[in-house]
Amino acid sequence: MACAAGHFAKTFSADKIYTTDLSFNMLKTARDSMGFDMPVLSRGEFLPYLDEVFDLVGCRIAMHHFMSPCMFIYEAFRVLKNSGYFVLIDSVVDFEDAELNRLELIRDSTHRRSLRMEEIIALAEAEGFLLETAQVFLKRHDFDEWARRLNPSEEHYQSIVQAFLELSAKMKKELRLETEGDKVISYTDKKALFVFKKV
Amino acid sequence: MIKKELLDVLACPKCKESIRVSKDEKHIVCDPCGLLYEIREDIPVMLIDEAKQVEDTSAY
Repeated sequence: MACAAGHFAKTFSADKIYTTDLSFNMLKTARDSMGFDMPVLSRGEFLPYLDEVFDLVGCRIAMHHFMSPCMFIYEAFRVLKNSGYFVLIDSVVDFEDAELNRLELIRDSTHRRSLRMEEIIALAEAEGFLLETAQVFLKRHDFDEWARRLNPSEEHYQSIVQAFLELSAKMKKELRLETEGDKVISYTDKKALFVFKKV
Repeated sequence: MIKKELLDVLACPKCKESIRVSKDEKHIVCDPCGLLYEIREDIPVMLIDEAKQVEDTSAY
């Protein structure tokens, strides 16, 4: 799900891999460069698959873009066979989440909301998933690479820099913000890996 | 050409029922919903809000 260029899908050993994404160009890239030849353009919240057809559903660093994570998780549950696995990786927030989500939104208008770990687990368990594993890891972002990834105008870029520089001391510490004068060098956020089982 | 393995599991994102390929192979057809989903460069575009609604799918 939300396969992008197909790197996450490539990590799985599977007889058949089906890729979906909302971006036509990403699906073509995953097909042409990774050989994933069963692409479908769709939204995560409205998966175009029959019930109980997959052994595993994977989604990496995408759910925070979805309009409804709840509907996506419902759909992941629906298309999985019994005892199938849902492997989810996404940005998570566990501290001043409104502030962290605001920073993401300033950079990328398609950002909706990074959830707290307990929210993700609660949504999945409400659907009937059993949590098998959850692991948090830190990811350090080179600020320039991160902030310029979506080709912002110089004005937009400066607004992202300013938003970071104006954070409270508490937030700067939470994000392990590295600065040199008015230049932001890096920040660090949290990602979480979840493995849920359909029971 | 869309692979058979994909068509075997593909469903209408609205009703979740099985679909078929149109006679001219340009669309994925959901007969119950009367929706035609475009096939673009062999990639089904399964977006409900971009699908074409028709009265009768039998011609497709």
